[in-house]
Amino acid sequence: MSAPSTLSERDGRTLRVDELRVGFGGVVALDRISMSATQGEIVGVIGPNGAGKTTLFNVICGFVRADSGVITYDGSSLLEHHHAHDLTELGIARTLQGVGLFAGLSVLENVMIGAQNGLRSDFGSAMLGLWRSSREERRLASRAGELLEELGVSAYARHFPATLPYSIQKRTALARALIAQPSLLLLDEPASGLSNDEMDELGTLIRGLSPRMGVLLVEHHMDLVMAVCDRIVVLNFGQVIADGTPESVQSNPEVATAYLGDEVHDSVTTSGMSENA
Amino acid sequence: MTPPVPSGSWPRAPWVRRLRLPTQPLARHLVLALCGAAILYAVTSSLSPYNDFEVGEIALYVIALAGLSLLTGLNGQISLGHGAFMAVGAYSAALLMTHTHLNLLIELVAAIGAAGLLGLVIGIPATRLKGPYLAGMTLLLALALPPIADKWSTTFGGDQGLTTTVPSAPGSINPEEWLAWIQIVGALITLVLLANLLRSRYGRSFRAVRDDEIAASLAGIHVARTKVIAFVISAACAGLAGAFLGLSTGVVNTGEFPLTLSIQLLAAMVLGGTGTLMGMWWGAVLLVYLPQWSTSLSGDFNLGSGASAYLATIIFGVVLIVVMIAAPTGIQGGLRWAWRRVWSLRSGPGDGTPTVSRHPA
Repeated sequence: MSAPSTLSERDGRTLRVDELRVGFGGVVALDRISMSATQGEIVGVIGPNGAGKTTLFNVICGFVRADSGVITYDGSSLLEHHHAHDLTELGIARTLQGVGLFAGLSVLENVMIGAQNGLRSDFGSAMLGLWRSSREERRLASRAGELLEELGVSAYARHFPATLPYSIQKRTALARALIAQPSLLLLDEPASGLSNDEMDELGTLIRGLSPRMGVLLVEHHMDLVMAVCDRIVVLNFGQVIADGTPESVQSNPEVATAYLGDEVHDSVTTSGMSENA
Repeated sequence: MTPPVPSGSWPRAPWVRRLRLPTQPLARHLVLALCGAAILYAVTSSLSPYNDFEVGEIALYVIALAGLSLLTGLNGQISLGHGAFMAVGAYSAALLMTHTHLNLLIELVAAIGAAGLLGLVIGIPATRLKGPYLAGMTLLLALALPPIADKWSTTFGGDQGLTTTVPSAPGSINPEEWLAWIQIVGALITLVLLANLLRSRYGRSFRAVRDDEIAASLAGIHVARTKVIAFVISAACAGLAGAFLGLSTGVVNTGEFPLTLSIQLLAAMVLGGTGTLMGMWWGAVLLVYLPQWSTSLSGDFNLGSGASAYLATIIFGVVLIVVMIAAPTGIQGGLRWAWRRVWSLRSGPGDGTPTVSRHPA
């Protein structure tokens, strides 16, 4: 079912979903879906509301249990790691729908927290305030600062998220996912609430990430998805109805009838602002 | 992108700018602790022995409140049972004092360890409980623990309780001042250690878990472990405070750890400034002096002894309400706000950029 990826899968680490089934009570959210995403590849996951996109992310992250099927990343099973906090060690980072920033942490701290699993100083040296711990802390802060600089939001480093414009908050959330240097990045509706210009910038940014990592992108804005993705997986009623290049998906009649036809038309005529997917 | 808002920093007077604190956590907090020790030394040596005793009590409540502030203010776990952790610390130390002749330091470490252990036992199921359910569980702890001491009265001394002994003071120092200094040093060490921890990744994890557990777990934070760590630290602080309380009162019995103690601790923590460490000094001062003030007040109004006992609680409640209306972030929060206002007025209109950065410690 899965289409050939643009890069050889031997070149990078691969997320592989195989015959995954997830049900909530009597409702089947994901019905034996199979797909893959490889490091260096940007894969869009689209589909109408309720198609199972966020459920797919939630299973990958261990928030939702699968009934059957397999998810592996770089050979190791994700269904056996039931905990979201193990993901960063495997090189997987995720942003949340909305922003999911910590209200009581400054922008800089919000970013720092994304990479603190890699810190080696132990509890004792943190409690005693030893140089070993504070030096590491300083290095992490400067790394977070650099990343904010790259994303153009370093001026806000000491502010608290609630006081900032939405687009700044979105970038901060992205920085938090990126600071762990993931090899697979799951983006859950990164463009929601952004203006057209900001969406263009986001598209450029995501393209710039792709050599270093694989990106799995759930997004309603078709302009962005079509412009950015190497490959698109279309979900409908928990099933994969198409998997291929943006062009092949756009010309797929099944996709058109299920979902995309109206959507593409809509989003083109209203300059990509359509949210009613 | 919108143009950046000027990133404000604390407006400071020139002399404050010159006297900048070190940024290294240990150095910074040791400097602050030594300043605090100097102030308290001046205070205790100018006061009467009875007042020294009260300063010691303030110091011991600071320890319990700082732990509670970490747990509730920074990690978002509410505890209505901290009196029980204090009781465990007090009884552990007192049991060692009656049965062994160990060094006080070892007895205090045992009190910290025993309360921390109970914190672990309570903290693990607590990770699954939220808000009112956690409050209910910890409330049960405060209610259920004292009867245990009554049940095995031969071990725990029954109503009489266990007696504690303060090591004799060296030289010509009076015993009250000596005890006060043991408690003050305990409080300062506790505050330094907690402040260090809060400036590290652990402090950041505590706050992140409080704000959003799902986002925290996606950032690689082990949410349950973080909550248990906070609970154990907080309980251990309460254990040390309890052992010190036993030293102050000379006996340890269940009457010293009623449910109202747990509730007053929580109220004092909120009054001082939830999530702060320095604010706990204000909370502890209120905890020690409010009952006295209310007793003298009820004496002025010729109220009976029964009424005066309730008056303390009533006044506590009234103060809590007034402070929450006047300064929702507690006394420490209100002081910080006032301090910023003063300097922003000093530095002239237009220059007074609102501060946007704060640090929990």
